Amino acid sequence: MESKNTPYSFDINTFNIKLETEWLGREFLFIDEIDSTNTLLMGKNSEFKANGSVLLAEKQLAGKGRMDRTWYSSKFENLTFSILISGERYLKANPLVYNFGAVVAAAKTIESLFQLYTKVKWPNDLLISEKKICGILCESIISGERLSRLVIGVGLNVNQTNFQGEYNIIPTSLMKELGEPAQRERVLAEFLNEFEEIIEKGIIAPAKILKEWKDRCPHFGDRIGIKQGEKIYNGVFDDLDENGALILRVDGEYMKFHYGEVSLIR
Amino acid sequence: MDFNYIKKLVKLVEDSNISEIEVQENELRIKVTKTAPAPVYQTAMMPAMQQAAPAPRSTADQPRVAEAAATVPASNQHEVKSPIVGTFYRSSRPDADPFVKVGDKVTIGQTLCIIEAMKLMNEIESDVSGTITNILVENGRAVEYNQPLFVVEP
Repeated sequence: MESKNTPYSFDINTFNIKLETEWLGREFLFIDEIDSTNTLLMGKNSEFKANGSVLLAEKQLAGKGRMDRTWYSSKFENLTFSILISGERYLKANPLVYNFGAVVAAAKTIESLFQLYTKVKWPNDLLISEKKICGILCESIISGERLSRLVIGVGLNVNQTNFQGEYNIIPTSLMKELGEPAQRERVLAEFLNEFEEIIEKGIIAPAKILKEWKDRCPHFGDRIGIKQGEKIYNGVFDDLDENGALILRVDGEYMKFHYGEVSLIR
Repeated sequence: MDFNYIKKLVKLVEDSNISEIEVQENELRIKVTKTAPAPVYQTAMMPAMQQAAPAPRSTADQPRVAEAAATVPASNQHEVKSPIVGTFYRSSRPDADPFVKVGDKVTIGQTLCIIEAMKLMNEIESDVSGTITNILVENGRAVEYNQPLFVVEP
């Protein structure tokens, strides 16, 4: 392998120079290996308390996707990190600010740094030419009526080029799309810069975040299928409601979905 | 007249908390006013979403309010209700043991279930200590806002 392509560990100084946020990522921990970044931040006795704390791991031994689907990531190549949201001001926001906002932040990062065209897939996957570049998994703790903790887990494929295993959606990476490696420090800093701006905007007006998401979704009006367990619902992708739930038109009637695997019907 | 300048002003107002800006340069005066304030949305504990239209009862994403309403707990029992609209899971993974079973003793802060809404997995903690006497929703079912999930006898 050429020297410029040799994987190297994340450089915190380079990252710090590029980070322009006020609070997001100002509490930053980088660890080599961990079971799952989300699980550590979600822990009730976790020492992480500051809003906007970011935990970046070179390697997750038990990275999580939805319902504990495993998320594989190679060491030194990608960005796998989690963000803690805490404090009344941020926790009382509509959660779409975080689970839709994170994917919008990833899209903006890739658009502005690399001028690549991205599109979103409901609710929060990011695709480049139908291949998955970024996935988000949010977790929260609710006690009574109160949200006490929210963690946003992000997996962004940066320099991985060899993907083995089975995937729902074929993965890609920035390096595969660009033909050259991308600087992970720059990508992470830009993501956090974008995401802080989105969160600050979204806690006041979540509809703006939904609009930015919709602007990146070319599939309104298309025929789609939504898979829930063994059932598949086919219909026309009509709209999202004000909380981000998917509205599907099936035989002239409207159905609302809060979860499900979306696929295009060609 | 520089239209880009006006566009910038509009964007500035749109993206900020100010509702009005007025700028004067020589003979030209521009006033940009935002008519309605940005909508302020409900919190994470959003009220039950309106179903857009009647849909077949068999769909997975439909509320099961009727079942739950049929089991009104005795007055000394406490109901843990769903704080959000979503899908109810009794375990963290399909093949894992449930967080709690009928007869289990639970304490405040113990995880009872997960409710998923748009790839946000919400762990629901018990807000009381006691014994689980009834579980009112089946695994994988859709739940509505405020729908009773568990009955706990303190």
